[in-house]
Amino acid sequence: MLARISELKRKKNAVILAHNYQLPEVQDLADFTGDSLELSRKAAGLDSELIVFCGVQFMAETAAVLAPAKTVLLPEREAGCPMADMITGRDLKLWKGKYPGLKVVCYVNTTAEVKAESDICCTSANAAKVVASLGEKEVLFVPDRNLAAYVAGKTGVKAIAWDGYCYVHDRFEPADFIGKKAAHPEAEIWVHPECRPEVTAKADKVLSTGGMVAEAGRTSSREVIIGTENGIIHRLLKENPTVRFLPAREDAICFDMKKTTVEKVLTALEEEVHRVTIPEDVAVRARRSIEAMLAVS
Amino acid sequence: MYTDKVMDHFLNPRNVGTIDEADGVGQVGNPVCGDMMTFYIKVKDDRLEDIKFQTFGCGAAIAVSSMVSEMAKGKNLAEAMAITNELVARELGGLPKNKMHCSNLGADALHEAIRDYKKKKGEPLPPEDEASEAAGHEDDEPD
Repeated sequence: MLARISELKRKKNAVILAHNYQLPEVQDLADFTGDSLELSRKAAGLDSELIVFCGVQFMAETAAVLAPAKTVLLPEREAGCPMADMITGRDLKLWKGKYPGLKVVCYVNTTAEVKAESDICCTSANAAKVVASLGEKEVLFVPDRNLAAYVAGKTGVKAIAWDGYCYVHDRFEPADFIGKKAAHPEAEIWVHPECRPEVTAKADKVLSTGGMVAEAGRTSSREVIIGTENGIIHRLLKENPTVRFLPAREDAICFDMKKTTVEKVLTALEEEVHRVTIPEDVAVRARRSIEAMLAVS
Repeated sequence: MYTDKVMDHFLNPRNVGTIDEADGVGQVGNPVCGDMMTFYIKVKDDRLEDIKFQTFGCGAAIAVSSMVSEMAKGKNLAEAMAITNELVARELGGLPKNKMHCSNLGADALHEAIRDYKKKKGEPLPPEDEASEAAGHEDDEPD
C-alpha cells in the first residue's frame, strides 16, 4: 500500500501533510508533519497542486483559504474538531453584535466562516502576541475559553471568551501531573494552552505542539511529562530518542484525529476525494484575518 | 427524526455477535425501558483487537452500540475508556433528546467489559461510570 501511495504521489505531483496528532503510521508516510498553521502555510508555499491533508476539517479549510488555486483533499470527510464546531459563523455574528467596538480574535481551530467574521486569527503558539498587538483593553476570543484565560493571564488584556473547549485538553487535571511528578521528580511538565488554567499553572512550560517539537530539540531534561494529545509523543520520540516523554494521561486521545488511516490516504490519492472548497467571499475575509495574524507574529 | 448516520448504524449494525472465549464481557441494561446490551472484547497488547456486541433495544440503542464498537476497535484500553456518551452522540450526528440515555448504555457496556477483563487479570480497576441519568423511554418527540 505504501508503494502505491508513493507511486500515485509522484504521478500526481501530490504532497501529504499530517498533523502531529495523527496516527503514527500516517505521520510516517507524510512528507511534512506539524501543527495546523505550519501545515497550512506549507500547503500555500509548495509547488505541488494536490495537497492531501491528514488532519481535521478546519485545517484543510485553512489550507484551502491560503492556497485557493490548489486542490486540498481531506482523506476522511468526517474528521472534524468538536471545539471548532462549538461556534458557527452565525453564532459569532450574533454574539459580537452584543459587544460593539470590540475586536474579535479567533483561534485557528475555527471554521473558515468563523475566521471570516473575525478581525484576526491566532494559534496556540502566537495567541498572546496577537492579542497584545491589538493594543486593546478588552477583546472577544473564540472558541476556546481555556486559551482565552491563558492569553488574558499573559497579556493583561480582558478576553471575553466563547464557552468552547477541547474535550481532550479540558480533561487534564492537576492531579494527573502531581502523581506523575511524584514518580518522576526530575521530569519537566509541558502542557498545551488549551488545558484548564489550574493545569497550565502547574506546568514548567506551556507550549503549542510545534513549540513542544522545537523545545524537545533544545531541552536538557531527560524526562518530560506531556499534557496534550498523545499522538505528539510519536514525533517527539522519533526526533529525540534519548528523552523519555511520559503522557500525563493515557486516555488523552482525539478520536477525530485517529479517523485518517493509511487506506483512506490511498483512496484520497486514487479518487481525489474529499475536496475541501471554500466559497470565494468567505475565503477572502478568512484570509484577511489570517494575514492580519501573519503580519504581527 | 433520526440522522442518516443513526439509521445506517441501526439498519446495518457493525460488529454484531459474540466472541467465544472473550477476554472481557460487559452487560448493562436499563430496567425502565428494557434495553439490554452485552459487549464482548478480545485484548492483545493492551489494545482492543476485536469487539462484538448484542443489543436488545430500540433503533438508537443498536446504532449507539454499533458506533461504540467502531470507535473502540484498535484503540488501547485507556483510550476506549475515554469514549463518552457525548462523543458517541456526536459521531452519530446527534440523537433526539429523549434518546440520549441510549448513548449512555453503549459506552457503559464497553467500559464494563474492560473492567471485567482487568478484574480477571487482577489489574487495578478503572473508575465506574456514573449512573445514566435518564430514566427510560418516552414517546419520541415529533419532528
